[in-house]
Amino acid sequence: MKVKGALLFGCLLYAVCSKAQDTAIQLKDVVVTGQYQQQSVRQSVYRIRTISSERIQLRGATDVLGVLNSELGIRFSNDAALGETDVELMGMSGQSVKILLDGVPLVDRGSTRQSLSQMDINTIDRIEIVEGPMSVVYGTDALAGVINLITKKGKGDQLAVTARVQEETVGTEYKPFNGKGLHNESLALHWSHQGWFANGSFTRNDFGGWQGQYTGRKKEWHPKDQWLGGAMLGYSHNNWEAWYRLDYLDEDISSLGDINTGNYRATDQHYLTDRYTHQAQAAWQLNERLSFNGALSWQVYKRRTQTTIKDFQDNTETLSADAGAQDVSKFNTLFFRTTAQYKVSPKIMMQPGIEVRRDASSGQRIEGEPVISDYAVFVSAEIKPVTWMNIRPGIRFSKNSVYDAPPAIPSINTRFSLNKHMDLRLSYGRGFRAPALRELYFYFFDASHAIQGNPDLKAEYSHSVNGSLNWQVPGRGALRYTVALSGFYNHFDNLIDIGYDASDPAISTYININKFRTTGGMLEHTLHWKALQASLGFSYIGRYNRFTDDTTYNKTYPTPAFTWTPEVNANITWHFKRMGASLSAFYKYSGARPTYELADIDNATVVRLAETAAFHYADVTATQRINKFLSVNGGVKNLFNVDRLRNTSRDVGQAHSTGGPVLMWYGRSYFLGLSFRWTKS
Amino acid sequence: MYTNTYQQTTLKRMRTLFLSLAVAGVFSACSDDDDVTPVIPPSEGSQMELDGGGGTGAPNSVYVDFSADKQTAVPRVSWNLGFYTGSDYRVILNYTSATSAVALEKTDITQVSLDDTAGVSLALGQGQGTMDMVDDVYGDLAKTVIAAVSATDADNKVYLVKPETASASDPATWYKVKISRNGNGYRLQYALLPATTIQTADISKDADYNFTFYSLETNQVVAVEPEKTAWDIQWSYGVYFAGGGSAVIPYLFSDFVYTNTLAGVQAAEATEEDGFSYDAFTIADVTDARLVYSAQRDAIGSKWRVTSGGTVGIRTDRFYVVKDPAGNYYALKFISAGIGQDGGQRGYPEIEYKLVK
Repeated sequence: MKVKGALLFGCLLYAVCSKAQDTAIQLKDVVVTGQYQQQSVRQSVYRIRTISSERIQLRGATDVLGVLNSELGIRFSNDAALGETDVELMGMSGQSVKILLDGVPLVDRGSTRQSLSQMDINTIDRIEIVEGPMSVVYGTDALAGVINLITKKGKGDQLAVTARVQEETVGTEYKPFNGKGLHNESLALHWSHQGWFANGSFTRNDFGGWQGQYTGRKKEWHPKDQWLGGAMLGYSHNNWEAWYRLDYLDEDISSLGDINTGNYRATDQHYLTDRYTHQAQAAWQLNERLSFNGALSWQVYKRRTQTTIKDFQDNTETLSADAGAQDVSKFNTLFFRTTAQYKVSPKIMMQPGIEVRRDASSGQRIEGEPVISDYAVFVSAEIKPVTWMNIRPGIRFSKNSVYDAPPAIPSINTRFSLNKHMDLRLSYGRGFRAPALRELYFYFFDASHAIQGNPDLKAEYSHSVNGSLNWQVPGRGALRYTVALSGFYNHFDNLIDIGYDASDPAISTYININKFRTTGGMLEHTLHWKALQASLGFSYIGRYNRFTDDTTYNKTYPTPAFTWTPEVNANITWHFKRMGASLSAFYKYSGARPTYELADIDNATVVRLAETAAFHYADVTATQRINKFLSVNGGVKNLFNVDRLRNTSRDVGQAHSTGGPVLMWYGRSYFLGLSFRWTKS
Repeated sequence: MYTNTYQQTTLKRMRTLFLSLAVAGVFSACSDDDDVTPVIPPSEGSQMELDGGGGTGAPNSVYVDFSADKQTAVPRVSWNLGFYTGSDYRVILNYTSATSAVALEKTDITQVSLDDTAGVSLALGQGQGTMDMVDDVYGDLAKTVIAAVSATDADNKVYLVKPETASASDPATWYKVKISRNGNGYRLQYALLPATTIQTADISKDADYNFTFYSLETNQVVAVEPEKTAWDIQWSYGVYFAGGGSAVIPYLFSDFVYTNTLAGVQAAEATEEDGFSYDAFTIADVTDARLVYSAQRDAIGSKWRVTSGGTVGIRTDRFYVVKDPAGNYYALKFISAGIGQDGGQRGYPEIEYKLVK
């Protein structure tokens, strides 16, 4: 087993051994998120989880979500009507999670993080996850944490062609290469020569949907057809590097209605998304003490809703005239961030930075064509008074063209090397979430809605305390074992929710009203022994119960401050080195999710406990090298055959009900894939 | 007295759903592989697309007379008050709009001004409002906001009335209203709340109709309902309630179906679960004990469709048996309403009905 030198420092969770054919892919225990420069994960003041490229490959994932689904503290919620999935990190929903592509924030149209499923997994080298606020350097939304997608970049002089074909069933539904099932095909070209590097990629990701409990044309999971393209061009010299990258997405989520046998017509909807993510980044090492980084991004996100009525009697299709049936929503974002890294002395390093962001939007439920500009300056320093101590204070100041931005966002992160094998990290941070465009400028009036945005909103903010202890148990021979214990407490204030407009109670609007808290801890073990890698983790995360402080109810129905959900995950991979094969299992248990809710029972309104059922998720996958160029992988996903989760919420039958079974998955699926890789140095 | 300005549309679409094999062949040739080729059975049913005017808050109320195959569409906010033509002296608020009202202690309309709105909210809808600011949602004329008009005029209070078109936050757009008896009819006195000039209208009872309708906004009697024996159901956006237990609030429903209870119309829900089938339903079934006829105007109401929570759309597992003013039984089913993916347009519902024989 070939282990890279840096691994000796011990990586937390996902450092894995590289396979022979993967040597070109860069070191896996190096992290960049929130760092002044690439740095070993152990030296970082942030606790960072990395999902390596090998892990991505072993999972046989066709999108980023398919890699994240067995991570502790990550949970998905599916919007069956729109065919979208949101991510939840450490008990907080997607709008409090910042999604980055090589450190550049990705635009999303609302609170749901569509961007995670709209980036090509085949171009992602690794994923870095940081829990806890990173608002000093990354600004808004980074309250619960950050998910940073790091793209593949060629190194050294080489030409490489990679291709992938993967066929997957959706539950028991499958048709070869088109229609039912999941079909992923990808082709990429990497070239680098004398400092120049370029790559281009093209991927089709075709999800045929899942019929589930519906009949005829209607499907419980909407079919989704994605075409993804990417290109990159860069140049690196001794002390500087610059590159441009474009990611393109064309997505069609279709929702076909069943044929109405009363009129032999059906209503069909298509949600059509175009997304261009342009970015240019540069790094310049002026001298040993001073370096600069810059990132410029222009993103255009367009989503069209198209509703047609298909008449099967005369075989015609007409556009529906209903309100909201045809809509184009546009979002574009200009983003610029630059930082300088200056080594004041061997013990002190500083990073000042500037960020400018301009968001514009238009669409049917957006009033006008609003534009928001945000300007921020931030500075942080890493102070190492003694070798075993690293203290990083930071502060960010923002000015916003529309809302009242929080004047200052401070944070302090620390790392203490207690001894050769043990690290302690403690941090306090403020996080904030700027009011989103829809909260400022929403406009929706019809028979049963009168909702208007509120341009007077303030930012949501949080106080967070995080701590973690990592212990690399001194190993014997080929055995390496690491334990990490961590805990967090977050208090969120000024949370934006829908309420009544004080000046006109007939209109609902967004107001800063709610508080929320999350707390919890994790215990993670990782083990490396010869060809075996294994990890086992537990987490216990509590989410605030709003009735505990509600004076209307807490006397009659006393309820606890938090509702808790346990999680367990376990991963195991065995490499059969001589055969060029590996066998892996990925498992996660997500405990029951309790929620207190109001219910009307026997003509009285009471507080009662509802629960979304626990579930087990597991994948078993295998890879086998066929020859120098080809390898095959296959396996079973969702081994426990989960589809809907039982939900005891009684909130059924009213507007925007949360009752009824929760759609989580689509049953046990099987996949088989072929990877091709050809390189020439 | 009737101005007859309302629009009467007769849109009768008799569809003979008979398709030749050739047409069926076209379907299968053109359908994509996931589409099930529909098998369209021959039917003798009558279908009607109601002219609601479109949208969730459709501008029209539509009255349907099954026996005459006739629909009558009326702008639903064209009136504010309805004066009962029966022996009682009762006045209803426009239940097909967000109209709310409250009684004042005063009985002299000239003494009522904006000062009388202190502490009064007439906001209705969007979670606002209370059940006492709208008439009985089941149509009981004994439970109207406006009390029975007394022969003793000193007992008749002044009411504040907020039409849907007025602003809840601006009482200057509300009306003050005082109603008295006038012989066999009514005398209506009213004005915008800040106004000092009081308008007066004398309203008579016409026994051919359930109500005489009056618009405070256009100062005239308006034609709304067809003659009382000439309609069976009314489809409209209108007031009902939401919530349960102690938290019942008025709620405005789209696609609400009211029955003409004052003319004796009754309706019962027939479900597949109880073994009923629209196609196989015969006159022998109308007395089946599993059919529970209701004489309340929400007998059909919103029960025929689901708009949120779970699978939205028309509940295709049920139909309604409607007994019309002449004693005929009709079986009524809803085809589309633009809810879910039923191939229809919101505000233009399609219904199908047949005389039960």
